[in-house]
Amino acid sequence: MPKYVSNKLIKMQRNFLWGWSLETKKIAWVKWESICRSKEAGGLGIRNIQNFNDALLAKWKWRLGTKDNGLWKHVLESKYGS
Amino acid sequence: MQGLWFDSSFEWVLGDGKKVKFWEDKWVGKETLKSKFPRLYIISDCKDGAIEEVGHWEDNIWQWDLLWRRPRFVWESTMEKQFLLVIDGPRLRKEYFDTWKWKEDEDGIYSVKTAYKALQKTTEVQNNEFKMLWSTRVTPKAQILGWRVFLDKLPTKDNLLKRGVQLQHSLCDLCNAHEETTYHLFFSCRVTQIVWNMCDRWLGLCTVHHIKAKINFQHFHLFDFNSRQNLAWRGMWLAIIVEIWNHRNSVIFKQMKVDLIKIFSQAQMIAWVWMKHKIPAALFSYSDWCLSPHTCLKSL
Repeated sequence: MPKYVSNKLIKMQRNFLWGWSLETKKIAWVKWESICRSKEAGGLGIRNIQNFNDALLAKWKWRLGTKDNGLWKHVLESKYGS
Repeated sequence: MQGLWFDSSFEWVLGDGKKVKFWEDKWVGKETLKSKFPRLYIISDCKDGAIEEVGHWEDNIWQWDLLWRRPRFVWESTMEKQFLLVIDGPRLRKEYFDTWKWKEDEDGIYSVKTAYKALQKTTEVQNNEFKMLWSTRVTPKAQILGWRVFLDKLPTKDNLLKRGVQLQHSLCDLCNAHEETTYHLFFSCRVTQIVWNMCDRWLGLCTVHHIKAKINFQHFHLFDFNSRQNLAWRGMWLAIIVEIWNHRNSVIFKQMKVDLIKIFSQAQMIAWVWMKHKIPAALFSYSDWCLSPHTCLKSL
């Protein structure tokens, strides 16, 4: 996911949380990284979508490095080397 | 994607040595051999090979064939001995592939959940007061208000001024004597202190209230209550916070007169309503709650 897209998504999430609308602009009192901490650590436990995206992408990296034998792996390996 | 967190979250499980790079992968200990033995790395003749290229099988026993560009100097030979000891640690296993073990999970297999947790870990410090706050049996709205009090992120006058909002004055509208800050408004204002004292007297206590929100909240418990009863009692803490905040807003925006009794009795009321709805064992009536809160809480 490009940074541009995730920034835009986070903006939507933030506006929703603090109650922005077209007519009124509200203050975002707590920075987004803090909102994304777990509730026990002082946040609201909302997913940090950038980190979550990385975690999802890394699953492919994992499958590439372990025993997965899908066609996708052969394609990548013949294109970029193993 | 930053690869650093990924690389430090798995370790190699040695199999036939076909995939693991002898010098560049971490397969023995926490470091690569390249960074642990930089001198030997320089004179190595096989810098980017896999482990299987640095030795051979002889009657099912692995033998190292280390190739050096030149003979080792005397002072290097102790280093080489140490090096040989280190690489003899892990055993190669001919019949298995080299594979990865995910360190963040017990079964060693990658999961998005544990990876996300590892990525978030750097910013996370567990905090008991927050844990307690979210386990109270009150409305989410009250918990969110409590959360903002803990973090000092409410639109109090000092916070608004910090963000460049124009105000007529920065004094607390309840006492008109001090600048309105979170700490002042909720805990040290002479008006709200009376409310806390009312609460103490109601339960038959005499306590000192800490002016730091989180600590104040944590201290809001009784030793002869069990944890379930104290959790219910902490609902009263949030009820008072909610009512102070609502009252402050009514005074500012609806020109209402400051009414201490109202703050306290409203807090008693909503605390009871919350318990009624969120704690099945709370069977006592509102009048019982007002007359003998201690007995009511003990019944939980």
